[in-house]
Amino acid sequence: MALGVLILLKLGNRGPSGLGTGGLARDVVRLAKAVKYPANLEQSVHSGEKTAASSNAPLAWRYGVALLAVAGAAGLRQLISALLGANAPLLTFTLAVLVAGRFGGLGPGLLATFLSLVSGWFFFVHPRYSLALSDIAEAIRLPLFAVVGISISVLCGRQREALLRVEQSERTAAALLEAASQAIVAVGPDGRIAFANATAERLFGYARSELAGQPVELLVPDAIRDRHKAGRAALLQDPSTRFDAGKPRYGQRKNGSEFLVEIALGVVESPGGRMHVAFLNDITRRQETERALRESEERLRLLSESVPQQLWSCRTDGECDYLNARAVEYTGVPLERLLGFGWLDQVHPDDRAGLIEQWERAASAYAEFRAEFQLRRHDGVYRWFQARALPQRDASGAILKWFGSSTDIHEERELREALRFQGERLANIADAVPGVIYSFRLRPDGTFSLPYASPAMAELWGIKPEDLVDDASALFATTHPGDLAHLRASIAKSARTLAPWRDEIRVLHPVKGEIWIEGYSRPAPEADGSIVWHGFITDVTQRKRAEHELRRYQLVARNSRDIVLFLRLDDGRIVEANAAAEAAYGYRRDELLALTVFDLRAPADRSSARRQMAEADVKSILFEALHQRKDGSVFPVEVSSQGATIEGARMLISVVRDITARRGVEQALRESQADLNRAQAVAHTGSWRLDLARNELIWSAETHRIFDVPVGARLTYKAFLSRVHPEDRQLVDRAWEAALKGQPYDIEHRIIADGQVKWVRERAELDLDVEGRLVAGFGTVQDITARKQAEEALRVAHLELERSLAQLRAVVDHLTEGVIVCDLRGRLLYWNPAALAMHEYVSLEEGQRELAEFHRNYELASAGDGVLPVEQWPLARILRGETIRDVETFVRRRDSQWRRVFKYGGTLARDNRGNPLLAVLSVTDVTEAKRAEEEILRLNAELEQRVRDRTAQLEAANQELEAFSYSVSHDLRAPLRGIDGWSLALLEDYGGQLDVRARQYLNRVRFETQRMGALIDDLLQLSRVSLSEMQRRAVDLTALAHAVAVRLREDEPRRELDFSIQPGLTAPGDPRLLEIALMNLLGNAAKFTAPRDRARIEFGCLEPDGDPVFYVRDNGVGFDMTYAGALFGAFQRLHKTSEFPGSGIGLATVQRVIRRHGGRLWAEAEVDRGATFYFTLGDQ
Amino acid sequence: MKPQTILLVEDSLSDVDLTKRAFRKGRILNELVVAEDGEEALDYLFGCASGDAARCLPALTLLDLKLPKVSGLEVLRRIRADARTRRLPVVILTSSREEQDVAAVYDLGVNSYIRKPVDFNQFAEAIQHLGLYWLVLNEPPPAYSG
Repeated sequence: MALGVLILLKLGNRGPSGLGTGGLARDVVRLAKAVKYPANLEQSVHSGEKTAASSNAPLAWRYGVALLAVAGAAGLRQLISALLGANAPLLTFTLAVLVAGRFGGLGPGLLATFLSLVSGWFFFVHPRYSLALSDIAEAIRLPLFAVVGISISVLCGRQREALLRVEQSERTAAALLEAASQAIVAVGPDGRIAFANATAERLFGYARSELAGQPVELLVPDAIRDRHKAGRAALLQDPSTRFDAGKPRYGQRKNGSEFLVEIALGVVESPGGRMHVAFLNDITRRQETERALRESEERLRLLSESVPQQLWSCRTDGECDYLNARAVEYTGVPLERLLGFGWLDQVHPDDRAGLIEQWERAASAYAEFRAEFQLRRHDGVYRWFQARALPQRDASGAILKWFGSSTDIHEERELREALRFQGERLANIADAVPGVIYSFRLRPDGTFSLPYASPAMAELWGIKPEDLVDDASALFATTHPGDLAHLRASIAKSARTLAPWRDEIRVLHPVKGEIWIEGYSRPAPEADGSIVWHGFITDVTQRKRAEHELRRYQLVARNSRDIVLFLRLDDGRIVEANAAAEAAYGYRRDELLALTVFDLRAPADRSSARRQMAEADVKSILFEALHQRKDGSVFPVEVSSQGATIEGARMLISVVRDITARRGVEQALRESQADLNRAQAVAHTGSWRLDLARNELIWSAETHRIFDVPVGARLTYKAFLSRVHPEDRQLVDRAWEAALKGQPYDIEHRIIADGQVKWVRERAELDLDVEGRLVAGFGTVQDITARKQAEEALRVAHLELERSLAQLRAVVDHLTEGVIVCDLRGRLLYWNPAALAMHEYVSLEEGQRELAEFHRNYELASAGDGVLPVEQWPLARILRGETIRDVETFVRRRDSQWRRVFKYGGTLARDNRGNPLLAVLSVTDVTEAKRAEEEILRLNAELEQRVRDRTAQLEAANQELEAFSYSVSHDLRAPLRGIDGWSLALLEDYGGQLDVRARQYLNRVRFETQRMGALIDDLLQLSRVSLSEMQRRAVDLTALAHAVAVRLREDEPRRELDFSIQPGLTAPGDPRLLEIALMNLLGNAAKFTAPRDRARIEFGCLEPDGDPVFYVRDNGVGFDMTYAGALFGAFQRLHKTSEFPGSGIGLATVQRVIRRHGGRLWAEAEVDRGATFYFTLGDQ
Repeated sequence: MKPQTILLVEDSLSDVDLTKRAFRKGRILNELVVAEDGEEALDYLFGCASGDAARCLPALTLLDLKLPKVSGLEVLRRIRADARTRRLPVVILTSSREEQDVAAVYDLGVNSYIRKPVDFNQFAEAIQHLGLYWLVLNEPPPAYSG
């Protein structure tokens, strides 16, 4: 800016030049403000104020003056005390207060007043040198002085403050003028310089002392001095006139050089007359600058015409005053039409409003203008331009003009648009994908960053993408600690192998808590050694949960015994079914999965299915339905169904339970309920209800009936009590009172109803509030008269029973057999005296023990099984329901030598319904009997042993005998044959040489020899009969007798033997032995009938006692019964051998045979009257 | 045809002589070979069997049961056990009439059992019948040819 000079033409009373300040300076400042030089002056005023403030006297000095003034006044009073004596003691002090106040203001004035008062009082008021007061006049004088002093101080203080303000103001103005950047020169009416400021000194090269009082024309070039003088005079006359208006003005320096100035003039009315104040600026440099500017503008114009941009300048309102050639070339519109507002016509109509808005915004904000718009080219094509403009401002900052350029950015913009479009598309894609697209960088130093992440990152991970651009460590900080190692490993692996990274991790989301994130990206190495992954991550928490849920569902479903079906909501398709479903419906799983839930509903029940599905989607519901199996059978089910989103699809999970069984139970329950109702009716149980809140006592009909109170009668406790049997009233009353205190009410008592005594059982539940007041009650009344009667009858019966039991006990007590009674739990209730005695107990108490205790003390054993386990003990067997008889047991006390053999019997005693009551055990001590029996057994055994020994001996003897008889039959006969043979040989060969007698002897030898042979044969037969084995079978005795008869007739063909044999005789026996017997008997009969002409031999059977007796009878010689005893001995004969030959062995043999058959043989005979032999053959 | 041989197995020389007398009385003139115990009898039979069987094997063997060394029962068992002698007619001629003996020899396939009676007339009669039956009436078994 231009240099300023200020000349102040008024002389001040201060300053080295004597040029005035004070009021003039203030006027000049006001003027300066009026001619708008604000900035400089404000600065100046500020510095001027500082100057004024510093000119004030110091505080100490001001109060020092007050002290000095009082001291001086005191001194002066002392000097004049000779004149005044004791009068006006404070006279001089008034002066001191005045001086102090005038110089120092209020504070020092008051100080002086006080000091004057004290010192005057002390020194000069009578009595002097004392603060005592002599009279009332003196006493008035002192306050009066104080008032005067204070008043003076206040007045002086005000005046001083005013003076100080004026002084300060003037000093400020002067300083302001001094500091002004313009030169200021004030000229008095006489045309002489009254004031010049420092800038004026510098501008004109004169010192102020040189200027003071000099005509102002000194500062004007010689050539225009006169004209200046004349103009000044005219101005003086009429302040509105101006000379040389519009022409450049020149000043002249002390060195004579001229320079261009710009002058502002003002008039100040001052006491010395009207003064002109000139504010001057040296505009020489500005002129030079403007010339340079013009040159620069020219260059600029050339430049602007040659740049490819359109350049322009416009006024604030948009009116353009300049457009370069480019604009004309481009638009093809003549410059004239473009200037002004014509350029706007070339802007695309769509962009005009926006452009204007931008313009106005820039204009109001004083900011750079920037706009993009389409501008029509000469060929009509609109191309995009970017305009930028900066405002040119004037000194006050107001915008003068906008200088701008418009650049063709069409291609750039299109590119940018294309890019933006692509970016938007990418952003849209990034926004649209359910996750975050990102680039993740692993720097060579091992640190991570996330250069890019789509905005969804903030939502997904809870971290803003911009916070991760340089440092991605926050990602790891928020990874679930359990997955961190895993995540780092997967990244490291991907970095190492450059294989795609894929992972699932849990993230601790600040808002959502633990979430699952799945990521996938491909790594790419960078030139700097970094690896960058581009990829995306997505929140799979839902899926994870769904997976978990599904797994859980499936687990539950698979193992569920209920049917579990997963249904697609929209069409009811079965997407999953468990084994229970297969079993229940009869479809295989693959068949089920091809069906919808509607196929499973029974046709009659399908209509509601759709509505139930819709309901289940919203909330879990439970309903009953009818389902149909593959075979068409229908069964009722209960279905719990609930919607769930599984793998993104809306599903229904239905748990189906076959309630066929439950239906049955419910039916049974209903029936049972009905039964119960009927039972209650039958049970004669009435009820009553007491509601004190409603003051109601209600009896049921049955209660009315029981108490014989007509329905509708007034019901009161008293009325009830009147029905109670007089003997029971106290009991009932007491029980009710107790019930009111919270005791249970359950009593039985008598009532008199309908003239009869009845028994009732009353029960009640009373509701009492916290303070124990009765609120409500409910009770039942049961007519138990019948039961009571039954009880009475029972009691009588019981007494009867006890009496008969006593009788029974008396009987049992005297039994010799022990009786023990035991209850079903094994307690030994009763022992009769015999039982006690057997166990060597003295008293019943000793015997009354637990069975278990008995088990401890005794050991039981049986002959067959050894020691018996407890459960095999007789009483245990009885308790199990067994009836035992004659169980012989060895009983032993474990603690002593006591041993007995007891025979037990017993059974469970039952009541008449067959329920067991008691176990009754009878005990017989058979120790002695047992001992005797054992003795017999032992003897028997001994005997048998002896028999066995003897039998063996006998057998041995038999065998010897057999060998003997064999030898006899063989060896004894051989010599006999030799004797007979050689005797015969002698007779045959030498018979002629022997006489008759010798031949007779030889015949006798032969006869004896042959008799010997027969004898041997008979003996052999006898021995054979004794020794041979018996074989028993049915023997036809008739046939046997016939055969013998035939042989006998053959033996003696010349005899007439008349056999009479009874037909059909059979008997059990050994056929060979019986043949020997018959042979002997019949043979004897034939032999002893030899003298008879007709031998009559009879064989028959008699049955006198039912047992057969066989006989053989003959009409032979018989015998004398006297000798019958010897009849059956061996070798016994009753006849002479010469009469009847025989060995005497035959009947002995028969006797043996009959005995061996267990039979008997006897004979009846008379001499010459025949003989009869009888025999029996025993039973077996 | 050469008269057939009779083998008599008998330890009692008195009986042997009586038997020879009985044969003579019955006019049975066949050659009588006597063996005094079972061993001798077997030696004779199997000696014949290994040699010219047709010439020396007996037409009839009379066998006593009670014999020194080898009993008659055992001799019979050996005769019946060997194919060469199996078909020989064997008649037991003994004093015993013990049933167990009778049963045992019939079990072994004896052809006949005769108890020697004490009465020599009866004995001679029995021998006479025996010779007539076995040597004249009975068709002999075919000779062993294998």
